[in-house]
Amino acid sequence: MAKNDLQGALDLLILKSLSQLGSMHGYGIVMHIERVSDELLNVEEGSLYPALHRMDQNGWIRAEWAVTEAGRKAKYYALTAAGKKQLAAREKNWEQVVKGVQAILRFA
Amino acid sequence: MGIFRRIWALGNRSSLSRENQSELSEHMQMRIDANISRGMSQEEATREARLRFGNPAVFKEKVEAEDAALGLDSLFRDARYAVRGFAKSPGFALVAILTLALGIGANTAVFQLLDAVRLRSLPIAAPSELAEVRIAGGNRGFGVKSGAFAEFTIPMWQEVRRHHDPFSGVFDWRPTHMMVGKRGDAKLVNAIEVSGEFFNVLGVTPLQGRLIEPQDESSCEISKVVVSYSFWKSHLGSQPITPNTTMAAEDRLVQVLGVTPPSFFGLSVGDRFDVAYPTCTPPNPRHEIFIVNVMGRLKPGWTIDRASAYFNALSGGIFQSTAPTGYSADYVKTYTSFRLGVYPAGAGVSTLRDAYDTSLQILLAITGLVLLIACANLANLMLARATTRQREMAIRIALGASRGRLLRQMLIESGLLALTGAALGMAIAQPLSRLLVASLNTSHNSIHSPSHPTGACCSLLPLWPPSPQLSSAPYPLCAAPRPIPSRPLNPARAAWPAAASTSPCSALWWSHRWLSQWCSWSAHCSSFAAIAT
Repeated sequence: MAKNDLQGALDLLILKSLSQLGSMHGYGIVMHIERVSDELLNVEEGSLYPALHRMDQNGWIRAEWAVTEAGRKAKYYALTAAGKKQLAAREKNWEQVVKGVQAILRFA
Repeated sequence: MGIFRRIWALGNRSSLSRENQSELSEHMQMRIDANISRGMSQEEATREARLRFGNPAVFKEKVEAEDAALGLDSLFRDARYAVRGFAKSPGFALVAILTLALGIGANTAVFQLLDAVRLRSLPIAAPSELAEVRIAGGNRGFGVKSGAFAEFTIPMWQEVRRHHDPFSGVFDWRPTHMMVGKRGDAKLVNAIEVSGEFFNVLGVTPLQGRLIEPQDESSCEISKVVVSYSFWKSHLGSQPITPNTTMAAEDRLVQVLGVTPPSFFGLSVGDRFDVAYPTCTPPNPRHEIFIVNVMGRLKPGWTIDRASAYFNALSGGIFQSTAPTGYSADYVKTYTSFRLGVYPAGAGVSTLRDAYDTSLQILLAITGLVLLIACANLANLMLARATTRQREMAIRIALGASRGRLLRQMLIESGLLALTGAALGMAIAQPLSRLLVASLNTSHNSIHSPSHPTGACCSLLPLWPPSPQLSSAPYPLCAAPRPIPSRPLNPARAAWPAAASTSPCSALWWSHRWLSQWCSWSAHCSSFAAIAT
């Protein structure tokens, strides 16, 4: 099922973060993932933005310009209905992958 | 749907680019602010933020590539860049294109001719089943041979007509001439005298009226004719054929039975018949005048070899019973020792073929060789050009161009040269071919040479020759000054540039030689294409 595991994981992280945050800009997503994962996961901007724009093209998220609390202009991303469906599918898939990997690791 | 949106996005790339730019710079600013609040200096904070984003040009392209169909855009840019490059070195471009055009043009011209004269099958039903019967090894000067394809005497033909087990049908025919028009205004046209089964066996269907049938073979006075399509158009004004249609020929009025379809030109490649009329059996046929040509359609299950064996076995009887009288015993012995053989005739018969086949083949071989040399020259030219462009490639790599992108640029350049060369080659092929036909000097030429198979193939052909550039892509990679990586390389990677600097250069030689091979093969590809059609 997992065609491209790494990319699948990144998409999943972004989609999940957006569903938790509601609407957020790129920097916010990076910080969110870092903070929640206790700095175990580090998403680099070099891969974050292509992924964000790709998802935007796919219609999973939509973007809107808004002003941050600090008074900066930023592009805010939010999940669409298609994005929510995608997230559910990805989550289920990820659980399968984890289960599968666990089974391999525990095999004696 | 997404693809259309992405193509549409190409139109407003600059605004897209600006928007992305501001999104990214805001992000970077946020990161810098956060870094400073964590106690970094301004300089440190900026550097850290930049490192996270990586090469800005690559980053920008990567993000934009998600929004717009950049592949399409850069394809167009590459093509434009290539044209600009050629415009800057017109000498190179001109030489390359002309070399290709001449090579391809000459090959196509000669091949067209060879195809028309030798390879193409007659426009009849199942031409592979058509076979010609003649004396194996010819009649060795016996008797009188009247006309180009005269292989049989009338008595011989009558024998074969009675015994033709291998064939579902046999016919005889001979090329001849006929006076057409009213007395005093008559004109000599090409005619064929055919036996009644001629059109039936060939499977030619009438365009108008009916064609000659066995019952027409009665009187020896020409009273009924079938005309060719071109003759019908030019001499009969395309009038509909009725049972009352007549025309003036041989000083009388003859009935026009029908018209053959436009594609049918007779059996002799290089000639075109105007009028066909039924043959007759003269009361006292001459035994020593070889005058007709005999063909038949093989029955299913019979091969040329089997049919040959059949007629070989029959030959003794046939030649005994048809031997001319009043000649010396030795002379007659020569005659009775003749053996009949069966030969494939799906491509028709041709005096042109007999006279020019070998020379055309040699000519094709020579022009093929010329194309090969042209290809090798072109490859060298391309190599020289690639060497002078190393610096350009190095700069592009340093700016973040991918190998695939450079390769594509090269291929587009080669493709452009090749396509232009091929188009020009095909343009000059027609006049060249006509020139050749003119030099063949036949009176009634009908070598029709539509060039689609050859043309299609030849346009593919040159896509390959100039591609030694393929190998020039890794070449600048090894020669270009590589930026020293800040991270320690693992040993395998560190060894790579050194290995690469030798291997692609030798690979270049091999690919060069391999391509030269390719050129010659692709030159023959045109003949395969024609055989296939």
